[in-house]
Amino acid sequence: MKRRDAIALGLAAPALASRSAAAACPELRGTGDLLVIVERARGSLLVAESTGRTVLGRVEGLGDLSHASLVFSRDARFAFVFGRDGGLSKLDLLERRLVARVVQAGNAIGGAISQDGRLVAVANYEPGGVRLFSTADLAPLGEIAAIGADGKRSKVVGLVDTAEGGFAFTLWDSGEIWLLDPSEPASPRITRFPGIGSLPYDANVTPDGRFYLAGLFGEDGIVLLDLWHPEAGPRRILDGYGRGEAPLPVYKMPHLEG
Amino acid sequence: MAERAAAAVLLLLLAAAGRQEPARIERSELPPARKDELVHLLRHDCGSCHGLTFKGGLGPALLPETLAEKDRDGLVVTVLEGRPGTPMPPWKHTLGEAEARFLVDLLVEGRVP
Ligand code: HEC
Repeated sequence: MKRRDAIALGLAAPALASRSAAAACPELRGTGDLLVIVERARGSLLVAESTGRTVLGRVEGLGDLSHASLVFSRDARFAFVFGRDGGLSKLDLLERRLVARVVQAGNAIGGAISQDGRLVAVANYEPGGVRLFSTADLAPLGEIAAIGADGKRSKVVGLVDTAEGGFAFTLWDSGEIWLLDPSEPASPRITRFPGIGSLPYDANVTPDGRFYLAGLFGEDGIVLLDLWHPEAGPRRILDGYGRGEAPLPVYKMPHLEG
Repeated sequence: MAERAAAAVLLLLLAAAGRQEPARIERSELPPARKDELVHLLRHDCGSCHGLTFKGGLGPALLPETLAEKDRDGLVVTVLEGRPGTPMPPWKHTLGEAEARFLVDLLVEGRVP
């Protein structure tokens, strides 16, 4: 405790030299060294730094974080947190405070930020679909109801941003991949790929932004869509990759990680 | 539909048969340490599909209000036998009938510690 006070004092002197910086952020620092820890049961988040391994502060009031995921703004100053209760919170990692918060659905799973940094898209379970918000102030900009080829509203999983400036996501109930072009967020253009297989539970994109991969819960295989050639359509890869001697029940809902 | 109903009846019969087995222990006899294990399983294994707080994930919500109308014995059968053709797996290899009933009671009564 004493030691941390001493460090804070040490930083205060140079900070005085630049008055505006001192006012906005007394402890001038980048965010590259920071990490956040989700306190699932408390609905709060700890901001820590990894060089000295100290906790810098806690941000509270983020709702139900029993299943939470987060993404960072393009400048890496802000974190966008998606909560189980449909809460979307924007928090400032440097000032350790909540900047904006909306409860935008009944149950959300995650989201992504567009390549230009302007839009944050949220994947929702309840009601199933995707909603678009401004990263600046979380103002609502658009909404897509995920009504599948079966005419029913589906839960959305595996939402990622694509190199083309849009988003890709997957419909759990009806087994589809959708590409979303948000140039006009209020009436986004959607390309649908139905019939990809049974119960896609999660999806991700390769680091180069080219291949979108969706894992299937109801079948033994992975669906691949080449985002450079979406017209070629999704195709199955790694069929039977999970097969052992006999098909066995699955006792957990997995994530698909790259 | 008729087929499904028939299957459900069969499962109920199987479950009834299971209940008569003398080896099965009654709910009240579950040792406290086992109850702790079961609650952990409920939150972290069942919770991976139904949500840690049972508000639903890719599986449906398991809250008192969503389960109120449902037959408790039927829910116990669901836990033990799973729902074929859906992600709900059968737990009878891990859980005895009294254990499944203990979990269903906690859920229906909203008493998960
Ligand atoms: C891999 C995912 C998964 C896991 C793990 C899982 N469930 Fe389920 N469960 C489901 C799905 C999906 C359904 C809905 C099935 C259907 O469509 O009828 C379901 C249905 C149920 C139902 C019936 C609900 C209703 O409204 O009729 C109960 C009760 C239940 N699960 C309890 C449990 C318990 C207890 C566990 C842990 C021992 C568990 N589940 C683990 C996916 C899962």
